[in-house]
Amino acid sequence: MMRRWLLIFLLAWFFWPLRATAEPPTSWSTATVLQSVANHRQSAARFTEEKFIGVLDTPLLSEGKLTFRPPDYLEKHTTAPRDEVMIIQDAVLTYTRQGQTYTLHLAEHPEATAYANSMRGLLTGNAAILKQSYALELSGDPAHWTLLLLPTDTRIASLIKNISVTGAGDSVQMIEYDQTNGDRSVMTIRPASPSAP
Amino acid sequence: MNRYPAFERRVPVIGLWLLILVLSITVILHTRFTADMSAFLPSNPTPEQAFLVDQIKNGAISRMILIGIEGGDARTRAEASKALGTTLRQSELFTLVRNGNAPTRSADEALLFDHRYLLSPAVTAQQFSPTGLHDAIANGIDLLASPFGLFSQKIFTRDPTGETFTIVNQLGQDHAPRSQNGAWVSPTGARALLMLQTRDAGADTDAMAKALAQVHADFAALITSNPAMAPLRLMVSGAPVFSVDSRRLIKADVERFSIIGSVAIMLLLLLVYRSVSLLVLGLLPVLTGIAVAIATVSLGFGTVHGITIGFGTTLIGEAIDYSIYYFIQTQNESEHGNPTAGMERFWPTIRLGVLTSVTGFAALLFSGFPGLAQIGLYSIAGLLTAALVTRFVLPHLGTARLNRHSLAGLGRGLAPVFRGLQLLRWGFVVLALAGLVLLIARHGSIWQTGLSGLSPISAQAKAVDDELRTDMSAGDARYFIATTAQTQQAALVAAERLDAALTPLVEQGVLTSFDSPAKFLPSEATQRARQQALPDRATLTQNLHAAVEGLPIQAAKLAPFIDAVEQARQQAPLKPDDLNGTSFGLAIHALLQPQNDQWLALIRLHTPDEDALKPQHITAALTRAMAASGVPNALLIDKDTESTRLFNGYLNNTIALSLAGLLAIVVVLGFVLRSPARLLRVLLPLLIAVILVMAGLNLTGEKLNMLNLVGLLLIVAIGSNYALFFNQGKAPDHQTLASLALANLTTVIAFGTLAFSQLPILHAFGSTVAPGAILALMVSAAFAKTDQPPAAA
Repeated sequence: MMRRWLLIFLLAWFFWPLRATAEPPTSWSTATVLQSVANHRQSAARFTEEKFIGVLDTPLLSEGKLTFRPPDYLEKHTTAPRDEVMIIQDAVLTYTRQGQTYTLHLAEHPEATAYANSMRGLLTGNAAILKQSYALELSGDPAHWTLLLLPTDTRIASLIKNISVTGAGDSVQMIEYDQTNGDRSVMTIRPASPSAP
Repeated sequence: MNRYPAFERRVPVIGLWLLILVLSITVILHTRFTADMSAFLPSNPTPEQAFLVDQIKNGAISRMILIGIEGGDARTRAEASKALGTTLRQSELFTLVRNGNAPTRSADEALLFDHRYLLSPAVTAQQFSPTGLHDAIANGIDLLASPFGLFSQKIFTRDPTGETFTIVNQLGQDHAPRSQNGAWVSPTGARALLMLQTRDAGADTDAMAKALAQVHADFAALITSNPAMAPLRLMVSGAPVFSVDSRRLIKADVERFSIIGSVAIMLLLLLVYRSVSLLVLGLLPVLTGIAVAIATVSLGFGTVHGITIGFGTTLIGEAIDYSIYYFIQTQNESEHGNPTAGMERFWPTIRLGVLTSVTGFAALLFSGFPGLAQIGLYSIAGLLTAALVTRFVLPHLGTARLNRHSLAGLGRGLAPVFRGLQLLRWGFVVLALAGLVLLIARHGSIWQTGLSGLSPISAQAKAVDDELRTDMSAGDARYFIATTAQTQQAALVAAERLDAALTPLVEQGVLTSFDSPAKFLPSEATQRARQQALPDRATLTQNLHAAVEGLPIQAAKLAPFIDAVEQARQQAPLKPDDLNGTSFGLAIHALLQPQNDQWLALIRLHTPDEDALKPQHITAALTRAMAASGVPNALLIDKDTESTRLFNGYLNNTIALSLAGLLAIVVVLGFVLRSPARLLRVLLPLLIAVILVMAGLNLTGEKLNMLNLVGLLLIVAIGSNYALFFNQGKAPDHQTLASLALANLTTVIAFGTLAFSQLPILHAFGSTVAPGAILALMVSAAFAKTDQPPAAA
């Protein structure tokens, strides 16, 4: 059914890794960046998101909270402009909006599985999983790095041009998602509590 | 007394007999034989039961085959499922082969999108007013920002009010299994699943057999050509499997037991008669009876059921009695050259015996089960024919010339045995009282509940079916609402009105959801009303300009929307057949079916998990909603209580029928015997036999169903023959004793073989009547009058 199909896209917005901080690794690479992100990920973060959609005159703004619980529970709770919750746990994605809950089994949709596995790869610092679906390009330096994810799967590539993750040290600060049609979204992530570095 | 043997009488009698025989055989040659178990479903049920029975016989479920593939690893199972699906789709035996969600997805999307203004319940004149459009487009923009945005942005300029999303939303979560590696799997993932729908009707058992053979052959070919698939196992279930298996079991059992019973009876008679020609003559009434019986059932019912033929074995056992009585009891007289001389002696008793048997079977004619009614008609026609042939044809066939072995010796040998039984008279009474106490004490465990006891399908096959059904979440919904209308469109309109009344129940949590044909396809009237709510191009353009005030979008960017609405105003309404090839097509054909000359709309109701709400609460809420909908002939069907009620209703019907049959036999006997004391002496042994049989079956752990009950009636009908012979005013002579023993033995052989049948229906008859017949004879002998010594032979 179409609803399942729609949900494939949910993942695009999701998974923006909850990040971390740390001392710079001795040898700096994609693997070490991911490792430090994973080692210092926090259980929660705040996000704001701007979506630039071609047909609209102004970007759409939203904000909310991200929660991650090892090993595989991920929640994106949007609090404004309206309340909605997306949860990925095991191989099941649920999305609740306006009192309706939608469920998607990831195994049913290779595209969705690719997203989920890639994002989990990012969170757990598992470069091998990421590389199944994306080519990774790291640039910048440990203080200000950018990790570019380029889809290798043609089905995903037809929708997404690239995913660009910007970070400082072991914390992810911004995830920018560029669609092939020119639309893009930018998610800015900051620590959920002042005690976080 | 020389009334019969004249040659001029002999020719017309034999001619008439041969003519009837030829006519019967002609009818039989044109008879359709069936073996589907629906003959043992009620024929005159309540509307709710009629619905269930019709669904069982003709509904979508009667054509649905469920397949599971087990063993190997997940990927191999998925590969096998896909390959099997491909080959099955190429055969023309199936209208539908589903094993995944992908094949129909793009057709589903195209259908919904292309007809969004006809299908979306949000399309009203208000929605297209300036304020309505403002709110709807604001909501559409909201959707863009949501995770659904990636999809909705592709169609946003054509569907800014989000009608496509509204449709998808109201269709609800579909109940198909999930996919893995592109193929349906069970919830645990341990099985790949396929669902087939046969092209031919489920009632066509030959076609079902062919379709199933195709499935097995294709799977065998698949695993032979792919060594990796060797560990895979195929599970097949569904109504077609049951109907094919039932037929096979019935056919095999009927053949086997007819042959065993017939051969045993023939050997016994050969042993006693010591004459092949006498045996052949003795079989003539029986064979004529069988031929006329089959022809009568065929003419009366249009078809003859396999079970009826199987039951026919017992007819051999009973009808042969008449020729046994004839040959043996007329023997002395015929030795003096007059073949019908003894007729005067035995015929009145036989006539009464036939009358009581026919009375007993006549009760079955009124049974709500066509299968039982067939057995009743078959037995009546068969017994009457056999008796008449014995009475009027046999004497003309030169029986006098046969050299018959005297059975007086056997009778003399048996006489002390029968007399000995009389010593046990009180023993039987005590035993019967004990049996009665036992039955009263264990009355809760006497009867079987549920119709499933009548089905020949093994518990194992049922378990496989349950598993696959659960896997498929083909979730037999418990509650249905059914309504019929003259036309397809009228049925859809009725469904729409019910939908409107049911929607609040979903909001209140009484229902989790419901599947209605109107959700997949609104009626043409509704589609046209939506079209009429759409403004013309000029009005829409104007309204749109006003609507985008305050929204982050320019009206000019929504030009494709204006075109799409204009196009929708001209669109032809969607018809059910337009849905073919999409997953909605499958759904609509299951929920909107032609039934006789009418159309049936079905609404499947999904309720919260069991125990969350009491069934009474649910049915009360549903009944109120149905009344509020104003649909006059809507029926609420609760499958669980309905099938129990159906069974209980028919058990009660059969109890009433058996009692009526019993009463009729008592009346007939009372009328003929004209003495309450003699009547009591005839009936008491039969009552004792019935009690002992019931107690015996209960002790051996057998639960009685309605066919056992009919069997009890037959004990009375058949046993009364014996009781009558023992109550002719004097004790029976040796010839009579011998013929009674022989007749009893043939009856016991005929019913006894049925007791070994795997078919619950035949088994029930056999295990009841065989011991009952023996007991009836023994107890009748025990209660025989002893005030006069046995007459000399």
